[in-house]
Amino acid sequence: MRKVVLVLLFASLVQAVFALRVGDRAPTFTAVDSRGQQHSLAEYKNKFVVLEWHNQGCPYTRKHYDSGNMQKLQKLWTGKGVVWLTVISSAPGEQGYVTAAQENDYLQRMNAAPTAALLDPNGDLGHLYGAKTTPHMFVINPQGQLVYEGAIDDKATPDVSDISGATNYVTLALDQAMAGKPVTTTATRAYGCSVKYK
Amino acid sequence: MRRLMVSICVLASTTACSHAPQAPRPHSTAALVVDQSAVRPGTQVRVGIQFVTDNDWHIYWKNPGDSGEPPQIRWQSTAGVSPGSLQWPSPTRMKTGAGTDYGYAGNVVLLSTLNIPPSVQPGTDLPVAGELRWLVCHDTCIPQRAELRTNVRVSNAVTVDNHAESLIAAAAERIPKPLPEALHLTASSSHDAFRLSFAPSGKVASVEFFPSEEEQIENAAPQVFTSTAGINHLELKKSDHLQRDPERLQGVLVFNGRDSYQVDVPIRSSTAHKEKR
Repeated sequence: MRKVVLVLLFASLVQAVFALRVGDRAPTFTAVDSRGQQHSLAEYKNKFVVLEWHNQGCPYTRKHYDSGNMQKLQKLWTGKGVVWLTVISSAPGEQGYVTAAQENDYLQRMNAAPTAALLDPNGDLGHLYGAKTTPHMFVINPQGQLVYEGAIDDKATPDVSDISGATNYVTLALDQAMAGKPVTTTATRAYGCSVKYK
Repeated sequence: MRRLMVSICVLASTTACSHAPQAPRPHSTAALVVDQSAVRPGTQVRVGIQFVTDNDWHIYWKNPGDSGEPPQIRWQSTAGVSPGSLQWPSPTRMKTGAGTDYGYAGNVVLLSTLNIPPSVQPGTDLPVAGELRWLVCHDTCIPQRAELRTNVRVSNAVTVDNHAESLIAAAAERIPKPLPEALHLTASSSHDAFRLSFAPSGKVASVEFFPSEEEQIENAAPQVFTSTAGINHLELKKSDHLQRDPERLQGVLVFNGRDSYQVDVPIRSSTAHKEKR
């Protein structure tokens, strides 16, 4: 029993020191969304969770919102019971920083449909997951393990015209994981703008 | 100043603010330069893509690192020829709040070579053209696009374009050179790091490795230089995304922020392979 405890302790220490890797337990967090609601990863146990790092001014984010691609994915997957959390880690004064009211206006204007948009102006959640770019995507399975981390798709450009021929890694991971199959592409280079941490 | 502008923007309209990147002031320009304005058939010219970038703005190397995107040109083929692959001057490391990127702060010229077919008649104007897209970043990033075009007159006599020639010559100085054999560079792999080992050659105040391929090393990790028993080592932390070792380590090694060399070495098998994940 003591051994088990030690191993668990060690595992959590490792997690704090090293970058998050696919297969790891996704670190738990609590964050507040643009409507003032609190969300914790623990409450979504037994569900797939997608984390989408977001900066509404970033050309690579705009590619997926101006085209409607991200909204389409949000609707598709939340319709299948997936929890989709958009995360904004831009610091005040930096590109992409929004107040709650500005974000709510944006969500409505863009017809976006995440489960919630988490406001992370201190960058705590971003650093916890090692989010590097916008968009940087994470997929967590119902067992709380990270099953995909990286780019949204395989076309690392800001061009809307590249969406149609792209392989969407989030869709690929969710399709495979939901079918009980191993995820074939588990980690890629997240392309885009750097996250505008403080 | 940026913060002030953002505040004004927020006051005026949040919508205008979020849409500001849509009509950006260009922060860099690009143009083609050719070292000879008149060239003999059957010879070659050097072609440069000259980027002029605002202060504090940068563009990216062929491996942009943790964010960003390298410039890409789609050459148009004329008379059955187009310039060859790009040669990239050695980059610098650029830290962001979220990682480390590789690129060029300030102006830079990327190089290529155009072979003039022997069959082209003197008196012909050969167009050199391409569609360029690139990303320029400071605190924010702006995608840019340009149709670049110039002409090369095929002639019986050569005319050197002195301005272009000096730009290209300066850029060529910054293209990584073949690795000196005297360095005896080798690469090995341990559990979580690659190690470049090489013989001392002159004073090494600093040495940096830039990987050609994405996701081989942790870009933001310190590269640790040590010297033991007359051999120099540079430790490169493996990327967390690396599932198995590549066969070769390819990239650029820069000494003292100045002398750059092409690296393309096999990675010696090691007993302690990184666990496959």
